[in-house]
Amino acid sequence: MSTTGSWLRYATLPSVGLVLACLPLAILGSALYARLATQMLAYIAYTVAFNLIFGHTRQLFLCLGALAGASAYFSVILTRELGLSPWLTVLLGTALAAALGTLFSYISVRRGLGVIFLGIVTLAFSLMFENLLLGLRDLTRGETGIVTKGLGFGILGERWASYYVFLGLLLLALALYQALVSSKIGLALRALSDDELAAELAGINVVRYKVLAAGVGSALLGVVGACYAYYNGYVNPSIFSLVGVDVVVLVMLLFGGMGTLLGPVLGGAVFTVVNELVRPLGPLNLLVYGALLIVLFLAFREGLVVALRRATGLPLP
Amino acid sequence: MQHRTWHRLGLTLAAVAVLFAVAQAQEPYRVGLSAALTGRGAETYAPVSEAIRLYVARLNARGGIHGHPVELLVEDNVAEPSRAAAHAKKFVSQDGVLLMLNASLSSTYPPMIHEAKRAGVPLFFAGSVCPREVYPPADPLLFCSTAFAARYDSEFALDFIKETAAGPVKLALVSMSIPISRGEVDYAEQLAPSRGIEPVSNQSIPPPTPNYAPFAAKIKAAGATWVYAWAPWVTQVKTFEALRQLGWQGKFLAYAHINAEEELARLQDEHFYVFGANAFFSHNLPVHQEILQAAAQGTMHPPTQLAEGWVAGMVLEAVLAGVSWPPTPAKVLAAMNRVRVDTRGLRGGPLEWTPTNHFRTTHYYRVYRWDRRQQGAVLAKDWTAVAIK
Amino acid sequence: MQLVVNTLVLAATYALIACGYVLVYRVSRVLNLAHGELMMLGGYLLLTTASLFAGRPLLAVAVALLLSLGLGLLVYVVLMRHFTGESVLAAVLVTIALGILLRGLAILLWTAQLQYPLVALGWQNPALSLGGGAVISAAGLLTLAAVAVVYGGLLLFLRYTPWGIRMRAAGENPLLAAQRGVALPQVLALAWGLATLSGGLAGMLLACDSGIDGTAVIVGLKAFPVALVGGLDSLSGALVGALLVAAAEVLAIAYLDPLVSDVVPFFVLLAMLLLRPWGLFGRREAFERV
Repeated sequence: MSTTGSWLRYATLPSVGLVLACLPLAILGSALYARLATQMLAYIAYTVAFNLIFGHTRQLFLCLGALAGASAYFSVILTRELGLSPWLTVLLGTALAAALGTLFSYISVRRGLGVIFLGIVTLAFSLMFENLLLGLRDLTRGETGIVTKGLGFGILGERWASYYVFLGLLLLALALYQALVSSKIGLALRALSDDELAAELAGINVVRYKVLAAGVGSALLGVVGACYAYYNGYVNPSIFSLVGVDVVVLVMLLFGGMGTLLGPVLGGAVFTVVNELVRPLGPLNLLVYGALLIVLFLAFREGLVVALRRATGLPLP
Repeated sequence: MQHRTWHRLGLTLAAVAVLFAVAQAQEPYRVGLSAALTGRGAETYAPVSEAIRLYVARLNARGGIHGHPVELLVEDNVAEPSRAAAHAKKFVSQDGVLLMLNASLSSTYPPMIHEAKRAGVPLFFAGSVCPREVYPPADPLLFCSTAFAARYDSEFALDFIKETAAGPVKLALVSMSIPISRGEVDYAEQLAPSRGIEPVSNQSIPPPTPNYAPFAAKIKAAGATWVYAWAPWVTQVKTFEALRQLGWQGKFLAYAHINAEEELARLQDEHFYVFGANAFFSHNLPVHQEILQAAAQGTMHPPTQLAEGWVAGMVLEAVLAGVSWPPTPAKVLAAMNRVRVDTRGLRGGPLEWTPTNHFRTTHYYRVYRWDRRQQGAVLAKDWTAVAIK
Repeated sequence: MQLVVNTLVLAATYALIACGYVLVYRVSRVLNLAHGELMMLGGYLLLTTASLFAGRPLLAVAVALLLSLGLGLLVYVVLMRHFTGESVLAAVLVTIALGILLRGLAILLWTAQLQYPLVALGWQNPALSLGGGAVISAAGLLTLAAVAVVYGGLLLFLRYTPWGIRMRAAGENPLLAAQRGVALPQVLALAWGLATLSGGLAGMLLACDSGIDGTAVIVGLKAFPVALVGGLDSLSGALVGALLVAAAEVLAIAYLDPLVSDVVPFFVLLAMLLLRPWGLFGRREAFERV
């Protein structure tokens, strides 16, 4: 491996951390941009999780919002009904999300479900989750949602403090990702995503690695989802809907670059900027948004990171 | 030299003073509106937002308020709470608005209410469902001018059915399976026996249904002679059409949403009644002509759908007229707490807010139906006043 | 008896939409997730042509159908053509983006208000009485007729005409077909055109029966499990799947809570995935390639 390569591998994560940590200075204290930036960090974290689950093991989980939402609602409801500490309930929510993700992965590997079919099963779960939230109206307050202000985690209420909490979570996630990918597990993941049959024949325990990736990714979704619910001040089915989370994450990852470290970060940043640009257009926004997405997909079919690699000649991680 | 210098100085000062005054005069009363221009509910809220925009444009063309224009900042929240939250933050911290307006689904309320309370800026629900907090005793910062009124609507509806029906009534109830609609219809079901009406069926219909026939079949099978629906227009009208297709001959009372007038003309059914708080354009009052003129300047929406938003515009003008320059949110709040708006016939009477009642002191209802001989909508019941306590 | 009629009409609507999914998938392995929006546009196009050609409804209908066909061709030529040979996932994502664009376009051009092309056409939609107290709307009857025509036509087309055979060849093995002289771009364009035509027809019939607005897309989404239940590469499967799903939905509304009617198609799909993942009439090999 070239020295540039290993230097980049070690330097990228701290550089990303530094840039994002300085972002608040650039925004100069605007409450609106603080909110947008924190939201961006949460979505980048979701994208890292999806990168693990889909980018490396080709398991198309179209239930990201549902997993994050399950964890969030579970945590909020437990804190509110049973008076448990939010620290504990966030952990419980994370465990729930991890358990669900592991379950889906296990079923799909055992039944030999292909990529698209797993996507459909998880899509069905997403839709059922939304219906479940509306059906259990007494617990979840249906469409109105639950107000989470003051349910604990005072730190998540403060403006820039929450930004740094989410930044910390994101950097942890990226570090975990990098550690996994550069370890033996990463090699196994790469083998089985290239050709599952050959990997199995070579002695790699496909079931174990796929389920592991799904579990870790789902746990990440769970912890970020629960924290986001507390940060947001209220939790509500539309925050974790298919269109609100899954489509966005899918776009961020595919545009940024699957299977890369920088992919989710760049994808998330570009996407947030595009969203903001489109906002003032009023009724035109959906149209321009769809058009922009199409143009971006046509231009960067393999993702932004790959394009940047070609442009700069550097093996960006 | 001194003469000229003083002369120049004087002129410069005068110019600066004039420019300053002109700049001040151009300083607007700034308000922010977060509406569902696209997304769910857009068919109701986009026309409301458009009507408010047209009203403000006309107001500015006539000179504004106390010589200052009104600047209306409109944002599309696609009925998503996160966007509404972002808009509220932007309005309050970046744009420095005096007043926020909401024309969107109730899921967008919590973030906007939170922001309004944090900044002490009043929040005006224009065209969106009035939250419970605007009825007496009212929350200090929340106000509403929207026509529909939970509970009061059903009470009026049941009374109307009782007095219009000849003989005993078997009533079927129709709602959309969203909390607000279902809650109201369930309330009507509870109330019916006390009015001497027998509820025989209560159908709650999920939002995007391709086929309303099964629900209509159940209503018909229950032997209903009247149907009362309080739901978004699509549920009301499609259930009605499905019932007619099944050969059901009974009478249907639905809430008059903004498109009620054109729908009556399309359905042309004499037993389809609509009740609401806004007067139809068929009366051709001067205020209706104003709306038509404003709409002629270019809007995609049919003019008959602009009444609700126009009322909101009238309220906005009346409120701001009571705010002296320079305006602050506190002054706006004070003005709102004592405003009395002449609706000039669009509603049954003036709209008044008091410090404890941010809905209105008196609410007026009218009922319309189609008349085949006159080939137009006629009054089934003229303005009926209901005191809001 | 009324339940049977309701099931048949709903099944006919689903079948018309599902055949669009099947056509595109069979030929290019792409899941066209913008099909619901294209179907909705069909209804809106009819509204526009009806107002343009006021007083000549039949011409309006014909022009609307032609425009639908053209729209499908356009979508392929301008957009999907660039994704043939690329990863299927990228193509599917582009269809999602296209769907968003079309939805935005629809709101811009026609507002979110519920519209009635039937009024513009000057036609009525009366309820026709069948025996046993059951009624069917004229539009419903027309939908049944449309399914017969469209499916019959497609089956004949795919089996006996040169273009149909080329389309089947391209679906089976694109590389071999191309080497044997089948013009892949033209075949794909035709597939997209036909798919959008049938979807658009479904949209128009739906619009005539109960008006058109943004929620028509959800009907398209519910038809997706229908295509999967029948087997994504089988037209006859789509028919049977439509009957199955429609029956389940109508029965659920009648005997269970009407609120579940939205998820019934997905439940049927889940059951199918557990029992026979490649669909009723799909082929196992086609499934495993996915």
